[in-house]
Amino acid sequence: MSWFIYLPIAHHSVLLPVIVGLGFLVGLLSGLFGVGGGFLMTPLLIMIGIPPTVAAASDSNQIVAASASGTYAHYRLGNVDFKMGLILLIGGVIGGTGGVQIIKLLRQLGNADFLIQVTYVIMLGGVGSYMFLESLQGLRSTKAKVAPPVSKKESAYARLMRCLPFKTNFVKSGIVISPIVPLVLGGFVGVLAAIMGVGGGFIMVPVMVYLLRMPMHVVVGTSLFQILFTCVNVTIMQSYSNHTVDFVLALLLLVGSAIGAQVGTKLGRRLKGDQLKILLASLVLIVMVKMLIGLLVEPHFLLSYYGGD
Amino acid sequence: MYLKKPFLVLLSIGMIHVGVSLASFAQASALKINPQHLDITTFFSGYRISLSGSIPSNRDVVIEIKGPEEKSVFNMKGRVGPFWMNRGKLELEKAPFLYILLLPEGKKWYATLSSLGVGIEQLEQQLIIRPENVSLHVVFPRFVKLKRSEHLYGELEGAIRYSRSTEGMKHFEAKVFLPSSTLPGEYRILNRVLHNGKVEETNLHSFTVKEVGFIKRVHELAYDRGLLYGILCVLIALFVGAVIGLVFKGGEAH
Repeated sequence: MSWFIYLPIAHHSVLLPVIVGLGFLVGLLSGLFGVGGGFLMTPLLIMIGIPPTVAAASDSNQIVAASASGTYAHYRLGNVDFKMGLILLIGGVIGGTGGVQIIKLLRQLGNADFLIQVTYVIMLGGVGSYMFLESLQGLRSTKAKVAPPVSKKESAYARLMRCLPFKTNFVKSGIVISPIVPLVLGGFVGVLAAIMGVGGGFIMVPVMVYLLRMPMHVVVGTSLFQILFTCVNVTIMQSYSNHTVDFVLALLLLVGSAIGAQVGTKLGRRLKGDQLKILLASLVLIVMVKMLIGLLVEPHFLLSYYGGD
Repeated sequence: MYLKKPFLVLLSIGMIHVGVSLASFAQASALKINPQHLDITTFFSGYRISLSGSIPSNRDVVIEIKGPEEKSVFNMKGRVGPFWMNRGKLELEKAPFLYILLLPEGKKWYATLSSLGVGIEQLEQQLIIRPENVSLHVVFPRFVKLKRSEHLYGELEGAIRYSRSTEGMKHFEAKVFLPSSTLPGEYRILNRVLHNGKVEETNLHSFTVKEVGFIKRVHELAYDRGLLYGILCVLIALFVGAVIGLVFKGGEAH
């Protein structure tokens, strides 16, 4: 029996264990952190010779399985805030639609790719560094003796939250806020995701943690729930419009990623919120450094297939 | 009258000679391709095809495999300040998806390729670039570098081996690996018989690469019924995700 398998849409054969292994690795991250993993998987698939457009579209298809598997695992643990996820999703769809128009405008103005990549690096660097330092502080403070509480002055953001109408109780997240907040934040992430061409999981997670003040474990489950719907939409649209979803590739990836997502969820239960955050922050910073190197070092190929990086 | 007889004899000898030469060329044109076509199946991982034939002992042969011609879209990288990034989109038309030139053993051929009108460099003349203000001279070497890295373009010196020089004829054989990324379509195989550094005869053969069975059906579904294909992809993904979720739940109970 051959270990190679032919991909009918990518027109390329791949080593079966390599693809299943890649799926497992990304699924593991997905279950651990609630990210789709597209920002990692797509470049890896391009590296092994899959055309960029097929890599991105098929990756969306496999994320459907990983996020379904992960959402189900987190649902059993009581970690999915469906109400919050739905509002974020609505915001994301609105923002994503707006983002597509913004990117069209940016491309007409020229140098859009430059703006996108630099924004990407700055944002990843900022979010990653803040998350890393904050969770490091959190880990240290739990080790140190509990200090007496210090009364803090209320921030402008907190005052704004208090003023907004239609306060709703998000039981799973343990917060009472106006649904306008997740709607606007979901929209913001949707805009960024559309501009950057990513699912937005690793932008959404810090937003839920720091701006919605949701507990980390609920953040992971809720993020996966939202990613599931986003990727269902992308898979169907890409299949219909561009014929770029390779079912065989997605099937191999998703077998690995669905198992990986389960293992990741179990692993995540053994870690504290701050430990999870510091690991995700490290991952975000690694991606940022990789992107920065890509921007500064002359690429080996000065021509690449359209749709790639 | 007396003169006619030797003339007829000479004519006969000449005709026999021409006949032998024509037979030799006919043999040269009869390039044997094994397999005669290539089927892409579920476990296809590329295939080594064999090309063989016979030519007169004092001739050489070069074999060109190319096709199908297509339009490709690329990102062009460039520098903006200290940053390297995509500087625009360009299209290349009439570029063969695959181009492999097989050259015989025993000589250094690279220097003579342009005089023979073969080789990767010759392709530049047939390419059309859009937008037209982008220089093809700048883009072409980058394009070739990319294609070479994918093993889709190549000039393989010494790939054709000669053997069994008998009765004024020698046998040639070349084996070439077509990578798994070889697109389905019609490929042209040209074998050129060379004499004294010039092309004496060119023969064209076609070679078909096609998808069959499961691969063909998936491809057809994806292209002919995109919406149904997309929905099926999502349903299967959800099913696999749920099954694996249930399997792990079952494992948890133990």
